[in-house]
Amino acid sequence: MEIIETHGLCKRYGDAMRVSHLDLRVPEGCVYGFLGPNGAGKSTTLKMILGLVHPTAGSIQVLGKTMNSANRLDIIRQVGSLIESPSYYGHLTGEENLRVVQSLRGVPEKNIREVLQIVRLDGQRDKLAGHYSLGMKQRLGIAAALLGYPKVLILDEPTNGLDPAGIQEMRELICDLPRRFGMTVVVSSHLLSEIDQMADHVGIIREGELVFQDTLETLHSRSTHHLALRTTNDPVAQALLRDRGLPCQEEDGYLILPILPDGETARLTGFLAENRLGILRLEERQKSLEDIFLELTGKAASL
Amino acid sequence: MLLRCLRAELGKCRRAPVWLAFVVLPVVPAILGTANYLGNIEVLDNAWYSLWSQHTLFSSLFFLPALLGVFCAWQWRLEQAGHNWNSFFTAPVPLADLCLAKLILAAGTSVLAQGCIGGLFVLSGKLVGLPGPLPPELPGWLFCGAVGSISVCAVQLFVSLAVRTFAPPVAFGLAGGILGLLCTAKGWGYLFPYALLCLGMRANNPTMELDLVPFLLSALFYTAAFTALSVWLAQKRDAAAE
Amino acid sequence: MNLLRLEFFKCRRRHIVLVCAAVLGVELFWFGAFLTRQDAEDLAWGWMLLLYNLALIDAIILPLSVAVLASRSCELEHKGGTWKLLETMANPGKLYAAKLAWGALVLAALLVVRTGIFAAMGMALHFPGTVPWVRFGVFTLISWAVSMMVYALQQGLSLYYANQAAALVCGVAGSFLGILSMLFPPALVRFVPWGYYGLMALVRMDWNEATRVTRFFWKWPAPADLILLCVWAAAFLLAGRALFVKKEV
Repeated sequence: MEIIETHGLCKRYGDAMRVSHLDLRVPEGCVYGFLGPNGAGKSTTLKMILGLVHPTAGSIQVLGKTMNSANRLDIIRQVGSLIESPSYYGHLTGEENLRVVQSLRGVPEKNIREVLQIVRLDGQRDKLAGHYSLGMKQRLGIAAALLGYPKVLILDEPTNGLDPAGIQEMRELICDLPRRFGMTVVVSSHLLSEIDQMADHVGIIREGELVFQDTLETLHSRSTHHLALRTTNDPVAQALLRDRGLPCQEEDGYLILPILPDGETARLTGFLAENRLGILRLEERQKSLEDIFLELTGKAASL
Repeated sequence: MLLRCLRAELGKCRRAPVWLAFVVLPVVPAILGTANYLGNIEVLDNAWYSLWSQHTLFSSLFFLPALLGVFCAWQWRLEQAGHNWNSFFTAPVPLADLCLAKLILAAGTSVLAQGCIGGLFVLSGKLVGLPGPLPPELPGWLFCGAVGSISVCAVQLFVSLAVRTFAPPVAFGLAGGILGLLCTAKGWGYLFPYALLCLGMRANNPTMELDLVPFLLSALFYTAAFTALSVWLAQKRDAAAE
Repeated sequence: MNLLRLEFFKCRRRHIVLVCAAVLGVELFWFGAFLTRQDAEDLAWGWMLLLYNLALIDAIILPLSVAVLASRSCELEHKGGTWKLLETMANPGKLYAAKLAWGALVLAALLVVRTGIFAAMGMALHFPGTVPWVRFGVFTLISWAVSMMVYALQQGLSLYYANQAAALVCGVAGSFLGILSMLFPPALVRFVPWGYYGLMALVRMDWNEATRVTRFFWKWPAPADLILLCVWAAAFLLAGRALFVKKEV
């Protein structure tokens, strides 16, 4: 079952179509990575799913039910979220902040200590949230989202502001959630490397449109493997290989060949040696996730 | 250096029509004051002077100090939002200049308010058909009113800096105005900054002779003292986000 | 109910009690200063004088005080960016109602304490006659009702605009109009929301020009005025709520 489904979701702000005919499918029990450049419409989409923003067109199904104003709160009660920057009351302590959320969600009080321990904020629970560092505020936001152990967790840039140890903890936590609590997690991020390590399904959005939505393996398979060769005399090598029927192009001082099985490669090296060409480099390369992302979004993949 | 700060402060006012309140709201006491003047014309027999008193009595007592309080609170709120304290305190200009620039902007707004009050006064008088020349003391009233306003702004800026929320300093401004009224009634008007505003505008007695020297000294004292306090507080305090 | 309890919880360390105490303090101070300027003849009016002046003080102080309270309550949500958190757990309509109910309770407490203190003051000063409890009660109720109408307006403004300057300018203007409206004819006052403090005052003053004698008399508020008050309150409430519910987070 798809935990979250959108059909033709659109959002228009003024003249601009910020989200355009989005058909999101988030399978149950997975970690779904929601990727996209700045301003692509990730936060807007997530806000629409939570009902914070009203869609211009399209429908949203969460947990198998179509969202409308009547059942919205009942459905969203089972969704934990952290959108954009963490929400907190600066004049209340960390624990008091969670008490507000616990009270509204109607979950038992002992959950507060539990989630504080999960995000490792237990020691700072009596400190005013206004005095927290950015990373602590982020953890508090995640703790608030985890309260009540909801079925779905929607996290917008969860590793924002965390130090490397914190990022690793967060990554492990997120990967653990489906197995440990049966949660489905939707993580939106700019950090491709993080998504690469966390997600098993990926959706890539660009200028409001979904340009890719499938498993992570499928994304990786788009990266074509190839060989890169450098010899003592490249132009001659190139001509020889062409005669042999192997298509190759020159690129940045290397000859790019399609990937070959081991036997073929061995014969190739022998052939080149017979023609008195020394092999300086022979590498196997594949496109990085960044390159794939760049191709799909046509923009720089950095922040 | 100060000029740069001032330009920066003016830039912060874009698309923030707070100053509009000082232009639009004085219309209310102008209309009401004029109406009341017309309604009680037998008692208020001093033409321009009576009209002035009607226009400014309540506004200078409570209304202007509270409104100036809103403006000063808004000025500091700009820095409180969005972690702006960090960029504020790391600006390559002396902290005194930054605080002074805020005071100068508030002073400019006060002058604008006085100008509008004066302009509306003349307009109302003409519309009602008051005879005779304009009171020659009018520029003096407006000038002293502005001077009194500036000392109120200095106090409000300090309070808004100290109390980092929006609303309470405004209420403090109103309370200050009320206290000012009481001080004036007891004859201690020159000693209290909020009373200076009302005294300067000669709201309850337009023909009163203002003791210029104590007035100016008092205004200068309060302005300097509270500006210095603001600078000291800004220097002492850490740039905490909340 | 839960939401209302949470509103009180959220106001920890917001010094709401301090704000209310300050409001009471200013009212007491003003009235105290006023009393010292009265002579025995005026004091003979005792309770009437008290209620007349309280209505006056209310008109000046309460509009801004109500604005400050509403602003405190709404500002903490804007500052923490908590709307997007709250609206995933509660209906915006219910949130609005909870904040309004909070304001109602706080104002009620403030005004009841105020009445108590002033009644005690009157007794200490040996005002002639027994304490007019019924009238005091009605006065408190009227003050509360008019303040709630203003609170609905202020809450609407404080919720809609994250920058509290707009709401507070309105509060200042309200205080100002409140006192100025005392000079208007009743027909005009009905159009000024803050004028209802004076419009529905229980004591009126009659100043006889010829004899130069002031005379106070009791006057119950007109039913038409009560209805108008409710109309104003309903208008502010519905408008404020609609704007808030429609607002995208």
